[in-house]
Amino acid sequence: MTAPQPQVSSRTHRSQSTRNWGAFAFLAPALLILFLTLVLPGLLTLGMSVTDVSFLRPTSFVGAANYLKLLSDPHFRDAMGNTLYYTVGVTFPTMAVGLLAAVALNRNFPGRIAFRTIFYLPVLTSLIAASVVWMYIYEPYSGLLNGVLVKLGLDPQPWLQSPGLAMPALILMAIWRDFGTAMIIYLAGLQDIPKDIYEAARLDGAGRRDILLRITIPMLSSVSFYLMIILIVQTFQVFGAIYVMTGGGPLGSTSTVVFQMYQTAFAYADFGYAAAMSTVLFLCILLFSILGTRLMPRSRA
Amino acid sequence: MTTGNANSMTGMKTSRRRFLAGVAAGGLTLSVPGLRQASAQSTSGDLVFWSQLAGSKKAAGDDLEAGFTKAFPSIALKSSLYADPSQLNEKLLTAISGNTPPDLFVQHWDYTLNYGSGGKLLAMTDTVAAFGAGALDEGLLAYSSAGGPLISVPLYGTSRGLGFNKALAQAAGLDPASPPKTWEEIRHWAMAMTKRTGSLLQCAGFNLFYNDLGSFELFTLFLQSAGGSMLSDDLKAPAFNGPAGLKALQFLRDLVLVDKVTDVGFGLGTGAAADPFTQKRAGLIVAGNYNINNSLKAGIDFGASAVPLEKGGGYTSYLDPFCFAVPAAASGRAQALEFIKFALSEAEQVKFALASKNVPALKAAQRDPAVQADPLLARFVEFAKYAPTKVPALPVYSRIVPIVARAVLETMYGRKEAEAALAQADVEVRAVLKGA
Repeated sequence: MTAPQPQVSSRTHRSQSTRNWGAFAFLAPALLILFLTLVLPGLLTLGMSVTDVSFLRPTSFVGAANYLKLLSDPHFRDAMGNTLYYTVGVTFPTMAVGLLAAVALNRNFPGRIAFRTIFYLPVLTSLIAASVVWMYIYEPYSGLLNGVLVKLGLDPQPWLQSPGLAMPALILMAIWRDFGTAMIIYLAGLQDIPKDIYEAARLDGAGRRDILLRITIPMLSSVSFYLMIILIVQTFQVFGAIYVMTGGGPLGSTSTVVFQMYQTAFAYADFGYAAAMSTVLFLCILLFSILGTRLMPRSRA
Repeated sequence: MTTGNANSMTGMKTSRRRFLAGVAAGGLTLSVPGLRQASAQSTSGDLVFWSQLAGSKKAAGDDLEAGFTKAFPSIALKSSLYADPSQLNEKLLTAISGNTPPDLFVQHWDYTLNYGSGGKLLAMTDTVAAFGAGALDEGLLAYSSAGGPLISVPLYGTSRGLGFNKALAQAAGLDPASPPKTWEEIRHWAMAMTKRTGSLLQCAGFNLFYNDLGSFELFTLFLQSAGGSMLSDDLKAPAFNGPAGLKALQFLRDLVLVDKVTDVGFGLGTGAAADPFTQKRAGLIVAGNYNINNSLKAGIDFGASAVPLEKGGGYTSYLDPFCFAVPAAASGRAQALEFIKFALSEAEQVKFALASKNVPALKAAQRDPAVQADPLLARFVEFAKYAPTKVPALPVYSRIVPIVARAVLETMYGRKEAEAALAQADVEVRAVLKGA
């Protein structure tokens, strides 16, 4: 009775092996593209970061010199601080506004599709076009925002000209642009929460606030985690809006790591140093992602 | 990283051979009138040309290219226009690193010196010599070399002066025919032209907030005006952190924070939309040639005067050349040299200057009656003569600009005292020069 077993097992192995090769064959094109567009440039960047490559002069190996220089570079420290400020400033408010919009638009009422579309439209707008429009909104003397402030009897503000206001102004624009993404992801998450949980909660006498805080938000924790990670990764790499709206100023108050990388590489042709910045940025994003995954089981619990 | 060195060595050998061939061809075609005519007929092939002749220079650039195409039908001109020098720089760096550079480009001088510092450009010494001694403006030409051979040829330059809105000056009771001749008069003009409604600034008497390059130029002009200079004579150390620098920065700071001729950060921003002068919201500005066309387009009655020395009795200025350069790896060198020769002919230089309002590189064109008959252009040609003869032609110059600009802006924002800001900038510039 035991004789056929090895034959079955061998057949199973063969079949599994064939299936595996088939899977690899299907994955190969994607893996090749990922290797060429992500892994290889990543390795090259790492290699560049230990050189003084400029593409203009002969390249030399400099070891950890670029990384040591980063440690004592006050402008890089400022850029790192600005990047963290922007990341925290955009990520959590975007999630909060997105969640509120999703909860509001998850109900049945006339026009909800229209509202969903309107709230999602900023995501579809070209970043450059949106940035230019916001520059006009923030214009200190004839801009819409200051017009409203003056009508309310308040002093107009130099939104993009003040080192203290420029970053909050950029953050506000980013929230406007990104909360639609958060809303759509939360809406998808809300559809997955079983209705009977809400009914049971109502039967138990739970109010709207309790339902939101004790059922909806906890049940969306995995969605929130996913959203937080993509927002952190995205905001850590902010560049376009800064390039268009402030050029990193005033006084470097909006100069983020990616903006400084761009300047170091292209304005000063110091690609080695820019590559070291890029590697540090990658490690920071990785660190935040790992921290997020570690925190996740607790939030689920 | 031996690869880079090995490649570079190979590149050097190749470029020397090509360089000699190019110079021989260029020198011959430029110096022998008979051959000049012949070359117009014999030189053929593609000419890939990249430039930043956009904005106020667009029409002049288009005319130049059209004229060349007509004069050299056997050369297929393939030109690409970039919005500004930084955009062209990105493209050029990518092309140089990928060994796909154009045959010819026109770029801001400091970028060109940077490319040239690695032997990536063809030497132009013989090409320039073929125009004849003293044919090109020495002030502009001084930016074509960082101590070694000439690696570029200026097409045009911009100079700096004080620009003012004549209508606003008249409305403030000032005489546009008698512009400021001392710092005190500048202060008087700036205060007179400042207009506020309550605390809201309607018109800045003197627009003092610019991007990094503009802030750097503003400070440089007043530094020179106070008798100082940006770098030491041997270009190895900063020289701005002295009594002249302090006086200049203090003057600018006081204009903003004491005299309140503008608001902190007024007009700062990216793009032309942020320019208060063309919106008639600024009386005085530090003006370059580009302000002529931009102001005329905005319907402003534009006046220009030289930047006076602190106590009067003389003037100062700042030059910013834009130069032709030929990459060492360019395949269409003969065509590139033909284009340079064509663009620097007197007739083309005059046409280009009149359309773009820039200072022509050719001295004969600067003296041309048509150029002198254009009142604003003639003024800026005159301003160019007030620029210091010793120029900071260094490949690392673009690194110095943001450091000094930061010190200027920090002082004018009232975040630092002038002395502390200059001392900090001194340390940073010293480090840049040491690493150069």
